Amino acid sequence: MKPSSTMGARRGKLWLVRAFRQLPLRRQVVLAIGLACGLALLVSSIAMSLSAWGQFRGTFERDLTALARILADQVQAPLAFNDPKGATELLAALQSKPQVLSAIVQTPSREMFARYGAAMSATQLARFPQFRGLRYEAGQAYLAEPIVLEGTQLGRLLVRADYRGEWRRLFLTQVAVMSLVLVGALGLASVAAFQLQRLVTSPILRLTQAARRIAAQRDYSVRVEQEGQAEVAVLTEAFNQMLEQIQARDVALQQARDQLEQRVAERTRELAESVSVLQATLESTADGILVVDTQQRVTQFNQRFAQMWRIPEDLLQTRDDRRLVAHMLDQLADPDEFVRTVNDLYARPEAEQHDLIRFKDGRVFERFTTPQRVGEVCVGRVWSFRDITQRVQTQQELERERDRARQYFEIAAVLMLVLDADGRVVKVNARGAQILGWEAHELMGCDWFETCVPPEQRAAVRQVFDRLMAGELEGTEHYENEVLTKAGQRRLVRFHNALIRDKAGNIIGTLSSGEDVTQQRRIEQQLRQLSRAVEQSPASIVITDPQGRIEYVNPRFTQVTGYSLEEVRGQNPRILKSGETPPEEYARLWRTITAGGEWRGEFHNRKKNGELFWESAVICPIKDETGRITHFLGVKEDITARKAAEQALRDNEAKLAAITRSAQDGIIMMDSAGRVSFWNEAAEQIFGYTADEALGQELHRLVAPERFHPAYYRGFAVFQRTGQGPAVGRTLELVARRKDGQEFPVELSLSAVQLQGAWHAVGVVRDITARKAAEQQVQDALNFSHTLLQASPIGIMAFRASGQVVAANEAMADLLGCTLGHLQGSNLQELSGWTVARLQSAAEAALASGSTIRQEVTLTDRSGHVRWLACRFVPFQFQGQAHVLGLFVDVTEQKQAEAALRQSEALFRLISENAAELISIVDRQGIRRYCSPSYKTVLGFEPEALCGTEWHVGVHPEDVDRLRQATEEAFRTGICRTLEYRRQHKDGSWRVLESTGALIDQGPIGQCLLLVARDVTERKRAEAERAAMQLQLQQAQKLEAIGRLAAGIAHEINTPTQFIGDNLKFLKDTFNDLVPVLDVLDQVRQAERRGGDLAALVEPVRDLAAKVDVDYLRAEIPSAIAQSQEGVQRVTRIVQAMKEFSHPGSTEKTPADLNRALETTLTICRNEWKYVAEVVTDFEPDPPLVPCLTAELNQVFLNLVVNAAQAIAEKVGDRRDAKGTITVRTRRQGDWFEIQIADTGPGIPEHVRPRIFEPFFTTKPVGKGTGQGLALARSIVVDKHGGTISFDTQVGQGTTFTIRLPLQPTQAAAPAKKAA
Amino acid sequence: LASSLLVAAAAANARPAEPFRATAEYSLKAAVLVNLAKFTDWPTNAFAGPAAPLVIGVVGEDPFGPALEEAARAQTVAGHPVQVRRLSATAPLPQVHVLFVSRSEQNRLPQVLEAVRGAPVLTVSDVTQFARQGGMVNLVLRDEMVRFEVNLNSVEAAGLRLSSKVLKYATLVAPTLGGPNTP
Repeated sequence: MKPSSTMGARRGKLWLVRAFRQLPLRRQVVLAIGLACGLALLVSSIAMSLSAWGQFRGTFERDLTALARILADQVQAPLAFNDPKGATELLAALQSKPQVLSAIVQTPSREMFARYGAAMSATQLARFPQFRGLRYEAGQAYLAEPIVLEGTQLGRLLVRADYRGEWRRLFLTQVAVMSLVLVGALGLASVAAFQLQRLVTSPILRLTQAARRIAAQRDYSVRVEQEGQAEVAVLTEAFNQMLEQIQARDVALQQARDQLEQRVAERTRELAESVSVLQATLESTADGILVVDTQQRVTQFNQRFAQMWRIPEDLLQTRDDRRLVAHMLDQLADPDEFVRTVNDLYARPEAEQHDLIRFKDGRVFERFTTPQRVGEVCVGRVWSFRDITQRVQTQQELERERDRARQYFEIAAVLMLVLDADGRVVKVNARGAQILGWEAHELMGCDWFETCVPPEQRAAVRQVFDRLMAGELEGTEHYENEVLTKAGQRRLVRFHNALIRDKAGNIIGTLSSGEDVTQQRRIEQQLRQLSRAVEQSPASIVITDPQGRIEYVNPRFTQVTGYSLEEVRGQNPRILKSGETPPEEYARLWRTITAGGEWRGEFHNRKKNGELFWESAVICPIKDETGRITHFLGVKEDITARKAAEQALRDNEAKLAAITRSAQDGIIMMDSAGRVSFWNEAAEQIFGYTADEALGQELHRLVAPERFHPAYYRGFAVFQRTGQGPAVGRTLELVARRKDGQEFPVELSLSAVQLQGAWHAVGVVRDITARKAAEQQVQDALNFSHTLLQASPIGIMAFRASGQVVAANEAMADLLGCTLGHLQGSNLQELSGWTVARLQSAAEAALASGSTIRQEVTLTDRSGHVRWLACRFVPFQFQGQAHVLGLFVDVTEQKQAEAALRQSEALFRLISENAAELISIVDRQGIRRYCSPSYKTVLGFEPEALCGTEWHVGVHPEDVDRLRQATEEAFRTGICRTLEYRRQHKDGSWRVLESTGALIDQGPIGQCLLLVARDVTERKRAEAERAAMQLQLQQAQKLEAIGRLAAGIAHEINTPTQFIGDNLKFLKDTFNDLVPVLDVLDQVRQAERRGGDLAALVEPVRDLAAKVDVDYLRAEIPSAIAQSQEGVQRVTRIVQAMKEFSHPGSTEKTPADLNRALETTLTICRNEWKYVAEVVTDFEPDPPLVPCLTAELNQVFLNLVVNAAQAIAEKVGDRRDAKGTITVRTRRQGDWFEIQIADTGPGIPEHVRPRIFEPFFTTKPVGKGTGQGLALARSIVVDKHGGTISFDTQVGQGTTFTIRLPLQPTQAAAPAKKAA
Repeated sequence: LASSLLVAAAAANARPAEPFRATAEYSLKAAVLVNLAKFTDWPTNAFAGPAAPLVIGVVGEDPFGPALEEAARAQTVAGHPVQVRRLSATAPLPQVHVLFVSRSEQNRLPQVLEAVRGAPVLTVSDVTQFARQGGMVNLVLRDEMVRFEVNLNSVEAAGLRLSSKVLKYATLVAPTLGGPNTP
């Protein structure tokens, strides 16, 4: 390492030396002088810095110490008054001393009291346990200064300051100043050095200048002037000699150059000639040519190029390719493409290209480009352009025409089809595709004949096509053949074909246009069918022209009339006339049909053979589209046979009428419209209408009462359609109405007859009025007996010997708990719950004896209730069979009442025999009629022995009167009070009985008192014990309260005790002072006794008086005594109050002054309220004595006052200076004494209010309260005193508790007395 | 019954009294009272001699307990040892240098102040508005610290001088109209 570093150093040094040497001479001199000066200045600066450090340290210590002292003095007060904030503020003043990093004030116990800046760490603090003064450590200064007030050390101030940082600032300032001085000094030295160096360097510089001029001007005639030192003169001489040699060599060189220039000029002339030849060639070509070199400069072009591109002359002259290109681009349709191509080509100098250029004005150029080569090297690029606009336009025109043809092909309304020579579809138009049901593209390339020609025609059509292809047929012929659609339907198409030939005239396919003639052919077909129908019609058809001349008759006409078409054509149809049809009929016929109407009628005509015949005819005009009558059409039918049948019918009708006329029953016929169409004489008799009146009338309206009309019409509507109906084919009884309005019953037999497609009805009617009247009589009798049966409250049931129920009434169904419907027709066996055996045996007995049987049976009805029934069974014959009539009466309730009576008697006996209570019955005379067996167990007496005794035997004599009164009252008013009385046990002890009673009616012995008594001796004792316990508990609680108050009371007593003690101490001290005075007094007395010199004692007495300050003592001692007395009085007062408060008091209510009781309470709990509240008393000036339990009321007052104090404490909180007020007010209010205790606390929150008097209610945490305070107060006031306690509270305002106590003892007080 | 009282207190949503709080407060006030004496200058004739004690009297109920004795133990003011005496409010007052008037004497302030009027006695109390009612220094608890309300008129009238360091912690008040010290 060492050698290399030495080497490095040496190299560094050498470099420095080399660099120095390279400097101009003048700078070298200046630098040398400057370095020497700088070194001297640096040394002197260091010396000055060391001196400054010493001075700085002294000043720093003095400053810091002074600062600490001032601060220590300042923080005395904050320490004394415990104001860390104030101390911190004082320390904050240290901000103005940036070198102080932190400062803390500690209390004597070394706790931090205040601080400034960053806290000192525990380790930093530990370094100065008792340190005082200044210490430096780790670049920082620590200073501890005690804070002493009146000789007491209040604490310590620790200051930490950064002296190093401070020094660094100072040092830097110094360095800056030094540096400035150094620079200034060096500058001055440099100026001096610069002036001095000229003397040394000027000759050398002159030499240098000469050399530089020669180099620039190549003027070797310059010479350097000689002067100065020896070394420089020699150098100048050598330089001048060298210049002379150079001048001679220069002249020879100039001659050689002139010869060379002459040779070059000759060569240039030769070149210009060959260029002109090339130029002429360029101009003669039709293409525009441009040559550009590799730097994209235009080297050649011809005039044709300029014309084609319309390049102005002046632009050409510039030969600027960029401007040229810009000019060219302006004309182009796609300049971007052009630029891209050109750039691409220039990027590839060897590439050749042939393409088209399109112009905005529509011109098109062909462009060729090849690289321009000289030898193997590319030196540029040749562009040639040819205008091919004309050629391109011609081509476009051609294409447009082709498009038009194609368009026509597509939109033509006929099928257009191109087939190639093999019969494949080359093209088919939209219409064609539509007709064929294919998509056009699906057909392309398909074999036409295979795809679209029906198989059976395929061969024939193919043959024709082949002949066309062979040129044997002309294409213009028409062909009609069927084609197959995609869906397989056939359509008839008429084709026109044209041959397609290529340029050479060879046939290469056909173009066919086809027309769909399917529909047309179909219509023709229909026409043919229609014509055939006419020909073969079974009716005669005649067609005439408007003038009535026959144009056509069908074969049937010929068959009927015997005239052929040929015979009648051109004739009038009147040739058939027989003369039987009236002429006016013909006139009407003509009027009708010439007016365009249709005529229907019958003709009686004559055949060709003279035979007459009937025909019915329909004649109507035939009109063309314009409504003009072109022909008349007659359709006629031969009805001769029908006419004959009609005549036969009319004969039959006459016979029928004769029959009906003689019938007994009314025969009526009704046509399909519901009208009477026949009405015989019997019908006339029955209904009172004559045939004339009835015929044509609506039958229903005529004979049916109106209320039946709707039903009849409904039925009739069905009948009209179907010939069916509920009445058809049956015999019915109906109500009918005579002409005179009387209604009467009829029997109707109805049958349906279909005549001429419509339904007619034939009815045979019989008057049944007499029969009906007889029937009604029977029915009435039946109704009567039925009503009787149903209305009977007795259950009645008739049944067969087999047990089957024949009839029953509602009462029977009720008895069985079922419905009448269920009962009728059922069998007795099915009726659950019946004691079937008994019932049946009773019924059988009745049947056997033939007489009535009575019996009682029980049964369980359907709802599960047991019923008692008293029954009577009566046998009777009905419809030849033996039946039993059962009569049933429900006697259940009666039975139940009997049973209940028996049960309650048994129950009473059971209760009284087993009850623990003493049950006795006493009559009006006071004699015990009954005593329960419990008398034996409870009182030891045999109940039998007591019966017959008077009730008051054994009753405590003191209670007898009271009981007697109650007994009399009970007999008088029926009200029995609960009474307590004592009764003697057989063993002689007294038992307390609690008795109650009820007035009962004992029948034979009249009204009696039922007494129930209970032995409550044990209960009474338990109650008494509980009351005693409660009292003890209460007393214990009171003592506990006093215990709690004790601390407060002790404090109350403590204050006067303290100042009594202090005063006694003072008296003791002053007495010690007075002992010398007493001694002197003794001396005076002795002196007087001995007759000594009293005057000699005056001086010592005066001295003593001055020494002990007699005046002071005279004033102070009485004061101390008065103070002590006052204290003793106060203690006495408190003790008295305590005595009063804690006095257990009497158990009986005694009249008391409650004002005094309240004062006592306030005194003993003074410590509870005095810090938070002022107590204001507003007492009734003349308080009545209230009968009360003073001790317990004291407890109540205490609770309320302490509550009030605590409530205020909560509101006042820490603000000791803002006290609340407790107002205690007493007032007499009529018969009541009212005490109010009001506080100015926060009030009671609403949700708590309803619960505050509940025992064990507390909002305190568990263990903090048992919830008895106010509950106890309420118990004492309300239960024990018959008073009231209430409160009135407002949140934020305070609470007032009001207690009202009665001035007279009340009922409510009674339990309290008893408890006592 | 103690429990019943607690419950009653709970029902009224109050909370029990805090006996230790008063002690803490008054031990603080005791220390301040002694320190306050150290920042007060009495005329030399206020003392019987250079070693005579400086007497701090407490009139009314003593709220300090032993705290005041503890604060005064071994303390001197300008060389005078500090002595504490408790005084009855209703009897004539002995000679004292500092008189602390307990809150129990709130209603008797005029009488108490009248008893020491003109004497070089520094009257101190924590009764509300004490300084306005003619007292000199009222101890006020603020943010757990004891601060003063000082009636400089009363102080100067008694021939006393309070250090400026104390005044830093004091609010200067003037007596209210109708107060006992108003001429």
